[in-house]
Amino acid sequence: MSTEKKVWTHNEPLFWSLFGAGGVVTGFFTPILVLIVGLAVPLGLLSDKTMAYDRILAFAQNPFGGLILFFILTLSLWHCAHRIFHGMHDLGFHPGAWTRIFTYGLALIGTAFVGVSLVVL
Amino acid sequence: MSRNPYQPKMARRWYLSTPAFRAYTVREASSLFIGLWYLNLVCGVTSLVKGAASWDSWLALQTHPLMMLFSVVTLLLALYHSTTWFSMTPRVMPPRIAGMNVNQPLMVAAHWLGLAAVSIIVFVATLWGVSS
Repeated sequence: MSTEKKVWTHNEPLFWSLFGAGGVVTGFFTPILVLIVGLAVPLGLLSDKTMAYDRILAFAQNPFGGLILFFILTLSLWHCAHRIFHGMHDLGFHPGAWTRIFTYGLALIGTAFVGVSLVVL
Repeated sequence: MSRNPYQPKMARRWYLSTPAFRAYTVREASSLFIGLWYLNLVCGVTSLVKGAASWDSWLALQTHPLMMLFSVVTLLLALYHSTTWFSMTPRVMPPRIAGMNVNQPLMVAAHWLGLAAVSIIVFVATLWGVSS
C-alpha cells in the first residue's frame, strides 16, 4: 500500500455521503412523518394530545429521542441540499460557489438550529 | 482543433421532453418540497425550545390550508422518492456480495417491508400512552 500521507483534496465525497445517508433516512421516515405531523394531527384524525407540548418536549429531551430527531432532520436536509445544488445544473444554470454556499448553507443552518435546540432542551 | 466544432444545442426544457426525463425531474423536484418541509420541522423544533405558546402556534400553522396542501404534495413526492430510491439501491451496489449474486427484486421488496415496519413503529410510538 502507498505510504503517502492522505490529503483532503475533494469535498464532494463528504456531501455525497451525506446525500446517501439522508436519502435512506428520508426514504424510510418522511412518508409517515408527513402523514402524521402534516396531515393526521392537523386534520384531527389523531388526537391533539399526540403532539402536546409536554409529550414532544419529553421526547426531544430524552437523549435517544433527541439523537433520532437530530439525525432524521439533519441528514434529510443535507440530502435535499445536495440534490437541489446538483439539480441546478440540469436546469441550465452552472452553479458556482455561491449556489453551493446557499444550498449547503441552508442545510448547515438547519443542522445548527436542530443541534443547538436539542442541546439546550 | 477544428475551426467549426459541433456544439449540440441543449433544448431549454429538455427535462420535460421525454417521459424518462419527466420522471427524473419529478424525482429531483421532490427534494425541494421535502427539504422545505423539513425546514418546517426545524422551525417546529425551534418553537419547542421557545416554549409552549410558541409550540402551539407552530401546531396551529400546520392546520393552515396552504400548509396542509404543501404537506399533501410533500407526502406524494416523498413516496415517489422512496419508490425511486428503493429501486435504485440494488443497482448502485456491487452485483456480487460475499460470493452471491445480489437479488434485486428481493432487495427492493425488503426495502418496502422496511418502510412498512418503520411506519408502523413510528405510528405506534406516536400513539403510545395517549389517552383519547
